[in-house]
Amino acid sequence: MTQHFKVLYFASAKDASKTDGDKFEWSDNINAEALTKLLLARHPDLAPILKVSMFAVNMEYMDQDHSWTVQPGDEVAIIPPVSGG
Amino acid sequence: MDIVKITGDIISLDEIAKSVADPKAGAISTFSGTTRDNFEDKEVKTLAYEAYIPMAEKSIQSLITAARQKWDDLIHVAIVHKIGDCPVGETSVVIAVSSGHRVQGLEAVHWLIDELKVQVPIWKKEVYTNGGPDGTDGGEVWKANNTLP
Repeated sequence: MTQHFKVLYFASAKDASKTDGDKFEWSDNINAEALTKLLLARHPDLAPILKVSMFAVNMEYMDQDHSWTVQPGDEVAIIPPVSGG
Repeated sequence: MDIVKITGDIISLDEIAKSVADPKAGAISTFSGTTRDNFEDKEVKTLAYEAYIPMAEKSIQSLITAARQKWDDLIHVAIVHKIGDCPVGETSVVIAVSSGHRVQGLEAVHWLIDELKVQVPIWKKEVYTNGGPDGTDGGEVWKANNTLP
């Protein structure tokens, strides 16, 4: 049975992808780099935004340098530079 | 008591300040963020806020928890952020802190708004007035506060 994970887009990422979320098929070893490739394949216009954005997985910011991989059922979010307050 | 709220409704400093009142408090310290009518040489019509709501609520709560570790004289803390349109003059965020004595309350409010602006997944878009000669809007831009590394 194919497993999936969810990606949410906010702010400039939402404008660029023209959607607020996507579902992707899960596979092993989707680290930050692989995730970026997947996103750009679906939404090339995300390129400049991904360069300055953070990833959050299950509502925790992910360290861009450390090895983490997406798990089935994860909620990933593209977090462009924030501007609350 | 910690109050964390993200709402599309107009937010009232008065109500939020009242919500942190306590007989043990010698001070209620507050911050209100309001929409300014200008950015550089452009005239701002409105700000529009968007949030990753569940993560923003979680992030704000963790800031309050951290503030309570730093300042032990805090009694109640309320942080309320508006989403949706926030026209010039309107309030986008209120932070209210009650404390036994004023020093810690004032410091905590200052720290909380500074941290909120760096960490919490909320975004504002600036919408400008009167761009083109035919009366078209001057466009809109997603703002960025000082970013995370």
